[in-house]
Amino acid sequence: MNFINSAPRPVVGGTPTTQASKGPYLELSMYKEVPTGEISLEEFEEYALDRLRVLKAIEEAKLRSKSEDTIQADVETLLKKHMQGSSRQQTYRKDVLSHHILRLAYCRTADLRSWLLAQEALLFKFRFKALGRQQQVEFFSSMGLPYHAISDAEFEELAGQLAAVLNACGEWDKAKAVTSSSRRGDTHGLQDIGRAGAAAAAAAAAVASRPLFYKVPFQAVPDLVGSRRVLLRAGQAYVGEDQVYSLVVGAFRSCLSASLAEAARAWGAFSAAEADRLAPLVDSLPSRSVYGSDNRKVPVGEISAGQLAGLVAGRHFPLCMSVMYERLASEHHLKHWGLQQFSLFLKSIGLPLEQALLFFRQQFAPRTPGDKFNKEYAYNVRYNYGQEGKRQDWSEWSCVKIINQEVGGACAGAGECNGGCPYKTYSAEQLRAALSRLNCNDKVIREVVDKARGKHYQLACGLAFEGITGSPQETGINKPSEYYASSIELATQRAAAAAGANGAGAQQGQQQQQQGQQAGGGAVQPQQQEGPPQTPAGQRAVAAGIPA
Amino acid sequence: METATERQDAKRAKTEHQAAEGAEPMAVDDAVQQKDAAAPEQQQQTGPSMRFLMTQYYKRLFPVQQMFKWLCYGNAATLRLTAASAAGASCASTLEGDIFVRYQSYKSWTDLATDLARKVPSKIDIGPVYTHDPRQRAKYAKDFKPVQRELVIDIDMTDYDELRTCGSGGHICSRCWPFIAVAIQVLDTALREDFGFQHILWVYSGRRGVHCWVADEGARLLADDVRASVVGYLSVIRGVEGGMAKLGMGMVKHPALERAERLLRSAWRQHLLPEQCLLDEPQHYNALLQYIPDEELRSSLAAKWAKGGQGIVPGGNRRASAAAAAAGDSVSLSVRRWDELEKAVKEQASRLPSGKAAKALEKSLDDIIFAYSYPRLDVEVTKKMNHLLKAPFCVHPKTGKVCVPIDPEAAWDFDPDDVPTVQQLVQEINEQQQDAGASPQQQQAAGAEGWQGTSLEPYIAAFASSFLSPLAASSKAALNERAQAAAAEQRTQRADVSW
Repeated sequence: MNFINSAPRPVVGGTPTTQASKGPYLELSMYKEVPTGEISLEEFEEYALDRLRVLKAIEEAKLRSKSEDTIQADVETLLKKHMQGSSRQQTYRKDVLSHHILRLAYCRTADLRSWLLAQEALLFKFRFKALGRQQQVEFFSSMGLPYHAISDAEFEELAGQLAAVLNACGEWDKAKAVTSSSRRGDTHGLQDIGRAGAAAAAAAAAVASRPLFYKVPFQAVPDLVGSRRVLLRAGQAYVGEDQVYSLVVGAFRSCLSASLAEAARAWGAFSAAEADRLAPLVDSLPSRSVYGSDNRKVPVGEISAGQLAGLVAGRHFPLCMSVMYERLASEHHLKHWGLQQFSLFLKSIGLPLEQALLFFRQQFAPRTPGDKFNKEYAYNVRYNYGQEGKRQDWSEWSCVKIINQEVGGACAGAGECNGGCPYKTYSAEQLRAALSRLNCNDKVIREVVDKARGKHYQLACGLAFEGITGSPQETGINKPSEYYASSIELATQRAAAAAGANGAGAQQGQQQQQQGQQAGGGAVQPQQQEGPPQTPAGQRAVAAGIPA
Repeated sequence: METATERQDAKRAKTEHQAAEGAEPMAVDDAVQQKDAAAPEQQQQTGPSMRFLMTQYYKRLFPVQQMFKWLCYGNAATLRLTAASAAGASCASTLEGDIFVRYQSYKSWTDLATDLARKVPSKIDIGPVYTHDPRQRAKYAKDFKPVQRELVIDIDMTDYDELRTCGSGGHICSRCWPFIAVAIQVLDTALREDFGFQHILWVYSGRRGVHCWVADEGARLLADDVRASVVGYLSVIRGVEGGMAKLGMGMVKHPALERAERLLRSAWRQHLLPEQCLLDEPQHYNALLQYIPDEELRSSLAAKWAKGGQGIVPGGNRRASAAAAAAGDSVSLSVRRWDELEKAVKEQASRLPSGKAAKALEKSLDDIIFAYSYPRLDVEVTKKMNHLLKAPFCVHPKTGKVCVPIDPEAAWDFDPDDVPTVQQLVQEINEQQQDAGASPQQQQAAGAEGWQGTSLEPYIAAFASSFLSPLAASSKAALNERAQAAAAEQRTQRADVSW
């Protein structure tokens, strides 16, 4: 924590530097030493966010149950993209610093700690697995873990069962290697390698010319035990050479877990000392969106109030917003936070202020007379567009904010709506009903409800997107407008494809565009609820995107 | 010496109890005796109330000393090692009317006895040992955490509902017991041979399942993620979809599953097929045939079996099977049909051109055996240290049966219908008392415990001899070892000083 102010010192982790790793970004550290040196505030923030990008991408890949091999490849790309510095040393520095910054940022609550622990352990595992065999063994032995490789005698005795386990895991070649070395019967005497040092382990492997197995208490390799990938006898697991990652990751986990607990204890002092500078920054990291502005853009151009119904009917709105639209249409009212959430979303997808006022006034009209609306609600809408109060150009609420919004029953209950994320606030029953109204099939609904129950609301939303559009949502949804943008983009592409394949379709598309141009120039046609919605100029995506 | 203090404790406990009741000591004693004497008559009319029976049970039958001895793991005397253990072991009890009292803990068995007699809980659950006395958990807030808990396994007969042919829900009988017996065999072997655990207690839950308590120190200290991994290692059935179990095993089996298969196969022909009549009736054999991937084979077997034949009257299969068995026809219909199925599958497999397809077809036989007989665990119970589980020797509130230990070696001989009930036990103890003419107080003064001579005795004796004593011995050994290590360390320290 004091590394910001203390004198610069070369950053060297307490780990073996692995020679000839595949790339500079693969240098692995146990992060046992707190780095010292200087770092600018900008770097501080950038490093942390870059590491978060990697961790969140891994988490998502895991939640989407991608295969280990795919994630392994993903991790390499991610590290190259986000964590690689200009030199080997720089990369190492960034790795160590960003790890320690996040350790600080994620130490305060049990939830944050367990999240970071899980993701860092995953990252560590994939990085360790990317090392060569020799480097793995070296790293493992350098850790000084008290595990013994089994003797030749024990190997002979167990070879059959060890091979059986490998066969059960589909590792036919390795199983063959085990049986053949045992059948050869070339014993080298009893070779109980004591506390396997780097040299001893390597020597043993060479001398024995047979696969090495370590005998460890089963508690040390829960992942291997839980998936029956090891032989267990009397509480001891027989861990193969290429499974030592499990032991290494286990050690890494417990080490990090202890450090996080330590950091949590020290947090009070840190936040007092850094109240004006680092504390707020560190404090905000866990809730920051890591997706930069280079992410998908909302189609530029304006939409009109009259188009909204068509957009909802075309299922382009994420569930949180379509639910709100329906509630508004039936109840003619939204509660304060619901109105904020919805109007900022509409703003972000291109509904101009006067259209927004028109839309809300109309919707509120049956219950709220025009002058009352002007007095009580118009201010908020104008405020959102930067026309009142602070006159700031407010941006839309992110999913994180919507999810964390205290909605007190939200759209889940009867009556008016206070916003929130339906994947969080709805019961499984309500969610099923809402999704089947959007024509999701049962399988999709089941998956979505599962994800929602697992508290992965954004992933649930992504799955719903896939279920509705029939196309995968690769980039993740972090703002409601991203859902909208992806949906429109997809529809545009499909319309274009259909137009290419079908002359009539192309004509229709052109017609739509022409219509759009005619209606352009800021002309407002709010009343058109039927037929293809009118499209203002510059809103080609929307024009093509809405199914006629 | 020890008994003297215990007796004193008991006396004090009794006085406290009476004080709590707010009555004159003598008057209370009289009242109890009158109630005892009146009990048989009451029973003839309406039967004694459950509350009355439970009061008697806790006062005179519940093996409170043995339970306490178990739950504090010999640490009461040596608090310096894990000070939390005896004071921190948490019990939760359900009072009548489903009032749930959690985070109880007791400093001595007499405290426990007093509290049980006073509260008369309809059921007792055991939770983890915490860092601090659970009754003062508010004081420690964040630092109050579970630190120790037996590794527990819960098997519930309702998980076998789609397989059972004799009943469902809360039902259990000697005909569905084979599912449980084979589960005990498979799991007990794996826990001992693979995980190296030694102190394993199997208990009948009193209604439709069994519980397993692994009390080795290593097991008690397992972290939650390791508990989950044990569950993963022991589970094969990953859920049921469309009436078929999804199996988490590949073409080649892990040695642990091969060993399980040997146990399952012998149980399959000897017990499950004949006792459950799994292939007697169409709805049952059709469900089983689903696992055979060969459509043609399925329908030809089903057609053959539908004709009935073989001298068995359709609809009267169960009795007919029993009759056939009695008549000396030793092989039951289901076993004969299984043999037919096995033969047909093997013949068909040998006819298949591709070795892979043949293997897949043959594997379906294994799949059936695993799907039907591999233990089905209630996994959530095992995964978390924090999960409560009903204590051995409490009475199941619905059936009145006592949760008695099961000898895993003799699991096949256990009959859930033979388990003593609280009604039966109270009657036994009353009769005993009438015969002897001694009051319960006199008996206790003579050093006898109430359960002696009742049908509960063999169960408590087995609990003490095959679980408590070995456990106490190993706790003691572990303590000695640690004490020696500490002493050795002290010696070296002293040596260091003298340098």
